Amino acid sequence: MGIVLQVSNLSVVLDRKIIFEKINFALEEGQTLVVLGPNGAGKTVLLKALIGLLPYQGEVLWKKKTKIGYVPQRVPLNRDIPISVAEFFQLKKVSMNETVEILKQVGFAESSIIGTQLGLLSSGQFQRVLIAWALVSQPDILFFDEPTAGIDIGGEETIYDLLQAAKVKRNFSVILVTHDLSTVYTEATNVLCLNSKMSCYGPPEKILDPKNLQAIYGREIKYFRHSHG
Amino acid sequence: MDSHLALQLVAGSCVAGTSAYLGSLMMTKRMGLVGDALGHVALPGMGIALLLNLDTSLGALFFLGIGILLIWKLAHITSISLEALAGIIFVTSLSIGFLIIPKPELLESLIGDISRLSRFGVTFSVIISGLVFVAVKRIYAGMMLMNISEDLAFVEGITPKRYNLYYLICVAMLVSVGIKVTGSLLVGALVIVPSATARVLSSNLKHYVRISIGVGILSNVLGILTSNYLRCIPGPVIILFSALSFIVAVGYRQVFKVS
Repeated sequence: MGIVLQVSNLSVVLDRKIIFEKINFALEEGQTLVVLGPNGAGKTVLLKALIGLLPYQGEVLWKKKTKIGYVPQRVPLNRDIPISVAEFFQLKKVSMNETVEILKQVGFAESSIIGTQLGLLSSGQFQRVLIAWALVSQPDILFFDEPTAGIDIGGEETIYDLLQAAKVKRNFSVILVTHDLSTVYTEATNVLCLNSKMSCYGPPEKILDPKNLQAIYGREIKYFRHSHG
Repeated sequence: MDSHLALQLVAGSCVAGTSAYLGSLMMTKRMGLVGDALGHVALPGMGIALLLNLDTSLGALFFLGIGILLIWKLAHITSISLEALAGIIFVTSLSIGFLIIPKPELLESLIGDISRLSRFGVTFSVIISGLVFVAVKRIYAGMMLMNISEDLAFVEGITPKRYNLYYLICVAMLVSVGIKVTGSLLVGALVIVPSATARVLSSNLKHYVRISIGVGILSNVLGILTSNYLRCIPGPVIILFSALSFIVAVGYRQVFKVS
């Protein structure tokens, strides 16, 4: 397995405030890095810096020709744009068949969704459309920012099941920002924890002890490890 | 139909159709008044061209070029929105225009008159409209994606700074010929009213673009023919037909409760 992304001494300063500094990690093909931390710790800033949306200091080295998929935490719906779901995918030249197929994969059983105006979707539906939008380009690495926020998938199926299914088909790397500690053991190869004072990095078994969690979140975190059957 | 009227219809339709196409992008960018503001930026250039016996579009294009470069540069230095910056440049240009242009030329610059279009004017309008149409078609998907989310657009390899510059150049080029049809005072209406009508009537992008262009061209044809019949200035009549289409569209939507 080759390294997709190598990050050395990454620091971000916005409006003269240090968001985080000297972050180091590496991500190999097919691995999942979960980024944990309280609100305001700079998790979204980290993703945006890696993608190139925000300025940073340090070194971010990508494997050549790495294709990025990005599911942002929130995209405010601009209802002034009369664009259907199918036309949204056409903006990046995705065919109708591919659009229907990828939408099925993210839980839209009915194909009528493709004719629906983007501005009329619920926030959960829109979030799922964004996930499909990111997956359809067959990325080598997927940036997932708080993917469960606003998701309304029915039954037992979660957005992580969708992610697992997609990964079975194509073994891409994932950087996942989440608050959801229960996903860490099932999803993460490594964990990067961020808060304004410290950061830690390593496999979940080593990182997620109660003492570390308290240091990250600034309070006692009760967490019971369980496995999905 | 005499050949001069036919030429007016051709030139006007090219300008109005392309303006409406660009307007459909402007409307979703929530920058409906930029075309209006840039129309006024053109005023000093038009005045100087009239004083020097040159085509007004050439003078307008020169001033618009300076105007959009200033707006684009200031947007990246100050982080103030393009629309607000266009407003600042517009009032400055308007003030200069009022000071340097004699009254008769001022009226012509403000209201325009497509019925006085020379053969050079017709050719220039058709070529510029054609070029802008092709350019807008090329940037349309990228700009639309930017309007939905600049972050998503960036990941797809679209550089907002570059696209905004292309977009401003398109607006400036089109305004430089649009002022022939409606004058600098009403040129913004060519851009924004057809797309507002289309927005009321459409639920997807394809219909939105087609209705915008259709309303733009139809208002232009009806406006020129009516003004030719009534012997009045075409610009305001074109805009009134365009505004009428908007009122009819809103009425239609109210009556039929289209979602």
